[in-house]
Amino acid sequence: MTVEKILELKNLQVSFETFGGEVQAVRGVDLTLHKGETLAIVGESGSGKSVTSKAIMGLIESPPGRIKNGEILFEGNNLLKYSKHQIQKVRGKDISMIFQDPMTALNPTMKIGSQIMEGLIKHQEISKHDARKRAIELLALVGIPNPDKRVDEFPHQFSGGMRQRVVIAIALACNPKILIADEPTTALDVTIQAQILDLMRDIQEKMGTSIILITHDLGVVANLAQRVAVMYGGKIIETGTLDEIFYKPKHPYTWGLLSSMPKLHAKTDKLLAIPGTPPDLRKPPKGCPFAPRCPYAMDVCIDHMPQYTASSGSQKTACWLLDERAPKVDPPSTIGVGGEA
Amino acid sequence: MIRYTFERLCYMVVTFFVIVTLTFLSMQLLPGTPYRNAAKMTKEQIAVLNETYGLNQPVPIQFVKYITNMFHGNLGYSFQYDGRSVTQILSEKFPISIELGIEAIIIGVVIGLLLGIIAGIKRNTIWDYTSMIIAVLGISIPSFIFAALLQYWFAVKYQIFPVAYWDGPINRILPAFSLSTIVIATVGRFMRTEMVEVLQSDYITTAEAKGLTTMQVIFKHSIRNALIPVITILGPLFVNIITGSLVIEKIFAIPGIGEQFVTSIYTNDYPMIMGTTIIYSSMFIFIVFIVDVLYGVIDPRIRLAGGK
Amino acid sequence: MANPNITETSFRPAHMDPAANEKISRPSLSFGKDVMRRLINNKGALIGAIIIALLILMAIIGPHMNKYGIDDQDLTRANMPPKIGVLSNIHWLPFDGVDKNGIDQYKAKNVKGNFWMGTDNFGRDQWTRIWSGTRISLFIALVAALIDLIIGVSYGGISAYYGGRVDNIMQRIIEVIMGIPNLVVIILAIIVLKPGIASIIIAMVLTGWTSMARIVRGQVLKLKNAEYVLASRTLGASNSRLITKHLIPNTMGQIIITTMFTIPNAIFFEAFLSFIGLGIKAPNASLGSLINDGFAAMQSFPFQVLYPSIIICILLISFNMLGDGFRDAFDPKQRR
Repeated sequence: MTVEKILELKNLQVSFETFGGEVQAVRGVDLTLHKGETLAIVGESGSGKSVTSKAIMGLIESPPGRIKNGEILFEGNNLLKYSKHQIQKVRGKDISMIFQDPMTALNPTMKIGSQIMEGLIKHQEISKHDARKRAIELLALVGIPNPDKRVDEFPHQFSGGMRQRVVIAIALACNPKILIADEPTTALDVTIQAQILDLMRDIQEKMGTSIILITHDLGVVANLAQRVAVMYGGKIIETGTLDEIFYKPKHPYTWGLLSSMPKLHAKTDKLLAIPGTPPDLRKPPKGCPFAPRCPYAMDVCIDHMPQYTASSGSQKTACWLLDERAPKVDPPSTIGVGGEA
Repeated sequence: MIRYTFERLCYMVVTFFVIVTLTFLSMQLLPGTPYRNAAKMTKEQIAVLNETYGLNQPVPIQFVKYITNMFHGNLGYSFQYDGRSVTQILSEKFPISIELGIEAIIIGVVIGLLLGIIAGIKRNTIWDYTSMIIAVLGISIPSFIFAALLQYWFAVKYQIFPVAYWDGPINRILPAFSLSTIVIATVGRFMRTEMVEVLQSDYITTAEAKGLTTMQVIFKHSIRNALIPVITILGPLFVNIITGSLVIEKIFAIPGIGEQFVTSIYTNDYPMIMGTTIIYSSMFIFIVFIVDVLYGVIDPRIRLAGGK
Repeated sequence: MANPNITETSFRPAHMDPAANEKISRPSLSFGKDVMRRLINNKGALIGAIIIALLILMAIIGPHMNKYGIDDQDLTRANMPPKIGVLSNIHWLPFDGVDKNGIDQYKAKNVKGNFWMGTDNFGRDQWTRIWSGTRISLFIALVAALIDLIIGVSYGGISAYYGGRVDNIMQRIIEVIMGIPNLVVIILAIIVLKPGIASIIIAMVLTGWTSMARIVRGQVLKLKNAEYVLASRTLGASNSRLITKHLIPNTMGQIIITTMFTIPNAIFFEAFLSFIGLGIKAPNASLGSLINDGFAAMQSFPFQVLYPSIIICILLISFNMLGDGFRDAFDPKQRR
């Protein structure tokens, strides 16, 4: 691919100081986002995906949070070197974010119009009048009926799905280059989820925004993403295109994730779960974080973190099974994705 | 919203009636004669006075009369001030107490909010701890002890401020400040909790993600939302102010209703006690009512939820 | 890739125990123990508790520590400044028996013996009076808090337990009572009942119980509908188990916290009433009445108002710190 890189994470490490000790939430993440693509970061709760997105926005509260190491290169500039003032100019203008819970993400005592206008006035230095006009346009863009009336309403007058549209409108206000969507549909009803995903796809087509989609829902990933990064225990354990991850996964954790996805045409009505729980990141494992739950774990997995092995195309996987000395293992039959997702 | 206001209004009327009745009945239970030099008076003299003040009539009739008069702005006649009306005495002293109370509330709310906001923003720093130590001291130390200390140090020992009375603006400083300590402490603590809660909410992250500066986030999003619940403690604060004013006015010899109330208690001046109780209670009931309605007006969630 | 430690043998299947990962690394503590641990770790609360214990001890033994009784009047030794034998040679301490004009009153009036906190205008020993005053103040506060607790818990519990109409009527009553400023009720009650220990307690209880009743009712109602209570009922928990494992631990916290704040409030109100002349009558003393007496002579004999004021402030601060500690300990979420 020769597409321009817009965002690059290099060896990002984020820790949190808690009463129970230091939690190493993100332990060396490398990621690349290209212009106009949608990259999905997939993983279960506590895998570090939300922390990664917050780190990009510079929203890690410190203390207790601390970015220990690494670089976040936005168009070649390291955001971690930016002053507070500089990063505030990037936030909302170049990179913006959609949050998980639309019920709490809006200020309850402020008209939604004002909430959209704030960012516009700050970043584009336009008059209140123009900002308001733009806010109405944005509400129309995200599919809110009667935008010129609803612009003066308060968040509680909107339904959950409508609020998420408002949140998206806020994020889109200044035509950002990157949109980070942190579980944008998790808190919504299934029918509304589809609408929001359609909306996001529409917007990407119209505006060419690059999207980082944080989710644990593989259905959403299949719907929206071109590339996928699978996170586990604060590390990216596999990355590749959507097809590579869904049809040729190499990491046992990815196998597990795909197997645990309920399928419409499955012969069995049993749900396949991955046994065990994610590692305690106060005492991060020396080796592969997935080893304790991995049915194929070998002695080497416990003590040594595997390197990335590149396979065909852009797929990279961190697993000892891909070492030439390891026994050959075939992926389980349960991972088959119908392709109709 | 209208239904809610009406409901509150009904409570207000019921409570008011209960207070008037209770006050009246307690006054009937009071022992002793209310006249200043009853011991020296003859039976006939007392009978004449009873006649004048209507004390020889049956209790229910006295009650109905009292209520009727009350609605005409007549709270009876003071036993101590030779036939001056309670309404007249109270209306003379009322502005003084109101002024002192308002000054104390302004000082207290301003300092309290500042302490609370700083403590909330700079949570778990020396700022936070200092503010909260001030708050614990303010809540713990009774205002009359604080007033006595201030009076001793700044008026008696170093003579920076006048010891007592209510002549010029300089006389206001010590009493208003002593009265405000409880307000500072209560508002400061409450505001800190609210700030901390607001600062942890998701919409603050949204505001930060828009690229707003820290100051914009604090002023436009945090303080406004944290302030709304503070309105709810105005009712209890008002009682604190009245309680404080009784002792503060006594200490600084301020001719307000608080000082008058204490004197009336010493002298068994029933009509004055009744009048003052009714004034205090109506003010309190009215403030609680206003706070309830105001809260609905300010918080759009309540305002519109009630209107639908 | 060339790591010398990794050999062919490293690629043998490992024997993993998935359950090992799920071991809970911190020992689990019972609710009560957890609360105690947090309380002890809270320095403010611990200091508060220790000071309260010391003051209670002094309130018990203090009045018997010297030979003077609470009402031993002797005008020849009126208004003596404080003097403590061992400290009397240290001049910057106010315990040398010298008044503010620099005259050693003990020599001037030829008084034998030391009065550790001075004497009042009747020549009564302030030390004895202050500690008996502390005793009475504490007694009033504790009894008032206890009665509040009993009435409040029963009223709130009954209201929440029966629900419906009963609850509705009981709550209307509370609503009206809470609409009356407690100051007015307390003052009226004391005027009618005549000032004294019992009437102060009754007056304070008249309105005091309502907040406890509301809190208990709120807690019980919340628990009645809480999902975890439903869950444990679904799992077949008996009523007694629900009461001991859920109801008591969860309402207990709120009850203790409310009581911990009722006590200083009662101490304050007693002092306040005494200060406006509605409190304890002589020859008995409470901290409030001592402050009131001392205040009258503040310009000439500041020590008479100073010592009872210090004691009551320390007492109130300690109770408030302990109360805060309890609140944080019972609800660690609130402590931010």
